[in-house]
Amino acid sequence: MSAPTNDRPGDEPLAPERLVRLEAALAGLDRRRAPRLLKERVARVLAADEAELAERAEASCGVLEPLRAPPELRERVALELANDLPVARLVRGLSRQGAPHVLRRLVAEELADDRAAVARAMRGLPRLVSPAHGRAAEVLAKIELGAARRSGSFGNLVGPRAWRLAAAAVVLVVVGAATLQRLAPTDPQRPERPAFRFQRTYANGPEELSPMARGMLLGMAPDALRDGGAR
Amino acid sequence: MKHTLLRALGASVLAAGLLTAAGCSPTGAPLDERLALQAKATLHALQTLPELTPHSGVRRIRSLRRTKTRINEVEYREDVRVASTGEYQVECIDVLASNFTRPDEFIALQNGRDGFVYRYRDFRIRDVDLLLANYVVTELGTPIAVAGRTCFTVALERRDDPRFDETIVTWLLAVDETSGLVLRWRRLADGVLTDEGEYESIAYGEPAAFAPHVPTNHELVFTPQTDLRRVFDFELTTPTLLPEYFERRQRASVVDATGQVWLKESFTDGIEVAFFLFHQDPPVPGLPTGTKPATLAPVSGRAPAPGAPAGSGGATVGAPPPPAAPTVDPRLLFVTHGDLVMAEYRDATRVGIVAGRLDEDDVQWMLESALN
Repeated sequence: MSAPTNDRPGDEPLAPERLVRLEAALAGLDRRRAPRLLKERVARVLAADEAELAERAEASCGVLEPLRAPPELRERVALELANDLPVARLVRGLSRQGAPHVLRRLVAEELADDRAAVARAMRGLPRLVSPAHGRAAEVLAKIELGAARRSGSFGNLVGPRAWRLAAAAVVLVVVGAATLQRLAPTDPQRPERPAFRFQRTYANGPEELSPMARGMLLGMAPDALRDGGAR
Repeated sequence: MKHTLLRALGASVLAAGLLTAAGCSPTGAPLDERLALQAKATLHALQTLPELTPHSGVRRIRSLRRTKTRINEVEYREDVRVASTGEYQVECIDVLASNFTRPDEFIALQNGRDGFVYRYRDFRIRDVDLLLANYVVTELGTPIAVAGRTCFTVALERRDDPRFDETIVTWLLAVDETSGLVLRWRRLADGVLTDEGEYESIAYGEPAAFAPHVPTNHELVFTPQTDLRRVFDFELTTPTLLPEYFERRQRASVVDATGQVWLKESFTDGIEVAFFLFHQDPPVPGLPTGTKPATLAPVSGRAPAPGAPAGSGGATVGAPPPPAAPTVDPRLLFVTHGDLVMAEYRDATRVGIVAGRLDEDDVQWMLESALN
């Protein structure tokens, strides 16, 4: 087994006398000192931790002139990003927790209900101040004026604030009731039922029924007659 | 073979399929048509299996009827035997809880109602499409053991429309994973238990000893080929105002103990069942519509109407009516027993009956709409 050498394959090995000559020539050269700045930087790099190195590398890269991607690539990426935001991609990658069954059903029914869709659309419309609001302000103003005139009266004793609150509560109740009545749901599916033609009479017991009706009743509820239908 | 189909589908596929078919895909993804069809096929299998799976077993039946003043509880045990021909025998063998003073008489009467009990009392899928339209199907999770068989559990809840106050009906089922038979059912109305049935033991195969039920009402289910004019001597009618969820399922004729022919119609929401029965006497010559002699009642087998004069029985159909005979006013009689409602309408010639676990108003609307 041969000893390892520093020789690269193909290089001609240096003869000993040539090495001696080279060493002598190098030793005879004038020494030049490294600049102080370079020595400091080398010392700083050797002492720096990974974070500093990364920061420095980033700063160095920042001054480099970036290469521009071809315009076709830039357009394609922009298009992709517009259609598929990274956040959406992230969310899609998350594991899903199924909604409770009842919730899914309610949502499906809500979405399938035309009236609910109309209600949702109505909810999004901008609101105008209702005339009732103006009336409420008018009522409050009158009450306040009346209270000022009735100095020393009961209204003055309890204070205008209480009156205002009471009036506002009354107005709210009236307006709320009217609104509720107007918005009370009407049945869109159930056909209009006619009024009953016959007076309903409640039997004292199944024995008042015809045999056919009694048989049917006992089939559906064997305990409908006292003593299990034995009578 | 439907058994093989059920085994192949298995509990989870069934449940997932049911959910999908009910429009409740667990992931919210668009409905898978293949799975929905599979689920419908399974439901059709479950619909017919009780009558086609030969087996013998003992089951416990319990009903709770809540009246205004108390809860009527009846619990009894019955022996059930079903042959692959569809013949069956249901025999009440023991009363476990009741307020009957003579349970033996109850058993005797109950055994005379075995046909009705088997066909209408037990949980049955009566219409798959209606069931899927009216009920939400949910798999309840861990399989359980009933009568020593592994069963998957399913809840069927009638869809609730919050705008109305209809009863929310829920059926909790334990279905044998292998045979597809429902081995335990519980019915809840607004979350309160009303009926329960459970096999305590079951053995599959043709029953050894067997005395199949023989129907006595000569029921004839109509087909498009049925010549109704040969069956009835009166004009047929049908309720046109039906309760929410319900549709007509079947029309038939039945004969009562006195030999009278009745129209019998059954209605269902997919599971629950309601009935309309109708009979009309032949017109009495010389009497305008809406009147008839009170003496006619015993002939038709009906008790005299309230208000009828004493001793009014005994006349026959066709006898000349007395000139100033008292007339019978139309009367609508209601009987309620827990959530069961029955109404009977009688006028001069007609008797109409509606029965079911329905709202009283719905019952009256059904009846009145049929008796225009």
